[in-house]
Amino acid sequence: MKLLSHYSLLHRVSAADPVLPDLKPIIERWTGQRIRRIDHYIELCLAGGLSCVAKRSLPADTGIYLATLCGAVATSAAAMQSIFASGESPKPLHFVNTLGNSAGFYLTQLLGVTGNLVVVSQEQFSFESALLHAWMDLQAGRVSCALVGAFDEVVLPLERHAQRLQMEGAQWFTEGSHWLLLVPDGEGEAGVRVHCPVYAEDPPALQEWLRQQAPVQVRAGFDPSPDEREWLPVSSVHSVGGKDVAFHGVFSAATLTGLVADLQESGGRGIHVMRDKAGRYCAVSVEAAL
Amino acid sequence: MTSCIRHVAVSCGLGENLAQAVSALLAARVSPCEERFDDLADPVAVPYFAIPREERAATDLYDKLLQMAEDMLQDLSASERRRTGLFLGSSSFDVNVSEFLFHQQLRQGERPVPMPIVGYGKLAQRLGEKFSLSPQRHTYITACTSSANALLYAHRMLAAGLVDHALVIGLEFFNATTLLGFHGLGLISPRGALSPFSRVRDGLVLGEGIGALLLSRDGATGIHLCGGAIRTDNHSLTAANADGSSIAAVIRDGLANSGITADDIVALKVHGTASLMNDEAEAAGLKHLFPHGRIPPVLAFKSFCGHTLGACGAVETALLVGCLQRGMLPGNPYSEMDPALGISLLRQSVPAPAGHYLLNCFAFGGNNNVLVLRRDPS
Repeated sequence: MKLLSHYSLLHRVSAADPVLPDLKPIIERWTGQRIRRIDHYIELCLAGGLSCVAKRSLPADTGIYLATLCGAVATSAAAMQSIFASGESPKPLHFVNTLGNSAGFYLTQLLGVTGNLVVVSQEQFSFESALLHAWMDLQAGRVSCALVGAFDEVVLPLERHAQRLQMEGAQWFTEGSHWLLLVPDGEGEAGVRVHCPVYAEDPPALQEWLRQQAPVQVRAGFDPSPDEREWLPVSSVHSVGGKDVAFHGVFSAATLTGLVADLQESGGRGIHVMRDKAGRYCAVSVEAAL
Repeated sequence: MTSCIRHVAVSCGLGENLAQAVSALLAARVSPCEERFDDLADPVAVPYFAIPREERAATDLYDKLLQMAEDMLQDLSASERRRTGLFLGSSSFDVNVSEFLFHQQLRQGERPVPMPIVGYGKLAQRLGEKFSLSPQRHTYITACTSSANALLYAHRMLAAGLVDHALVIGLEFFNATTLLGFHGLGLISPRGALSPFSRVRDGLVLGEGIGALLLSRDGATGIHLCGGAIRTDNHSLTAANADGSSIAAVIRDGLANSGITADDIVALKVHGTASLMNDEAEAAGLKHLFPHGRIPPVLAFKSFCGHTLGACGAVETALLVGCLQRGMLPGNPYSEMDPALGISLLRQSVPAPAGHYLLNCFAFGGNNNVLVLRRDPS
């Protein structure tokens, strides 16, 4: 898949200053429409997606591939609070915004596209899953362009958010929205190419796959164990654009878009590797010809 | 390429298992219950199609799901399981468990965490680990089209050669957020009857369900998934475009993807939620497709099992396959056609012909899906 554009938003929210970023100015940069009745989760989608497209004219059959690990947690929590703590039915608007499609609806409406749209999740491989779906559809010619995005929100108060994520005691969290705009590969063209994600059951399977690749830098979207560091030639770990980010949400989307951005500047090849909680890996090869 | 539908299973308001559910569907049995929310400031009672069971517990249906998955996979060897992808779709996932935990914390006077369980992919990961399946374990979150999209992408992944088999699951379990959310939107039928395309239609009745299908690249069961399509209708967040253009467009894409035309369709299963706007849009879409009024037999299942939301793609496909395996198409003897829509449902059960079947499934947020099945001549 050839890269047309990439974009990544990353915000740190700390316990010392628990304030969510105001995303409206980013959205308003790309649309004059005042979008009412959306929540922070949908704003993350719009801010990232619109910034990646950056007013390009997209083909009507553009496919949209969205990934999230946790979804619209704040609004879902508000609905639950309303029913069980306040004894009231959820507000219709809250309820509608809890649904998986709502963010994609607003995005496609603003982009004016009506093609394939899917929202997927796969624990630590959620962004890779969306990328795989985009790859399948581009390969088969079902879409001529693919916008792939991943986003997850931080929910205040942080103490409760930490409990949900089983990260009690964490002093800071990151939220973000990470995007790639892709088209099918063309022959002999310069640019950045993102290859189909590859899954590996265990370390030997990943090692075997890595042996088949030319020597390249490897970026890990996780913190490798001492054992893994012996065979995984990792050049950087959970740091994107000079920022350390917390290991939750669609974190691997941040590291992968970070790799894409760096290779677009420097050229060369790189491999993004992510590990899930069961010890499986997913790798994505990226190459850039300047 | 077509995908062979190797096994199906279902548990829904029609019955605990496929045999019971198909028998009840072919007999046009309708038995919704009533769910009461007496703890609200303004108590509410809503009709509902629950999976038959003696007592409802927070996790009982997960045990049923595990058993269903185990039954579906029993023919596959360990190496075949490692080449089996898992494709799971739902609207609410484990919100019922989150609600249970939150409610329990509230009662115990703890500092409760609303929505204590997060992570859409957890369930697929657990199932994948338990049954040692391929790492291709994808979860779909597109509201009512979730499991229909899971089916279509399972088919696409089989065609791409990434897996040899695909276990597709749609699930929707009773939870207060969903029932009260739909009630608040004014979409639940005050009569407690879901009457698609009928002149008396006044809304939907929700239901819970688990639908599961095992697809394979190869096989000779005589029923295949041929293809389908997904498109977005961004006319409105909660209603399809009433002119039917978006629905006609996704059906055309689905037929083209399956290599057939509208003339090849021998029967179609509508989405048929019985909400005023959506039936209007679906009827208009079908009229675009069949401009001379020769619409094939129309099947509508939600009258009997309720709208199972994110599970409905898998549940209703499994029900249709179950009927095709018995060689029958289910009728809807209670339907009263709305002349303004002009869509007549099949009224009596009839023998099922060989040929192509169209299945519509539409969702909030404008996500529209169609699937095409084929039944070979027996």
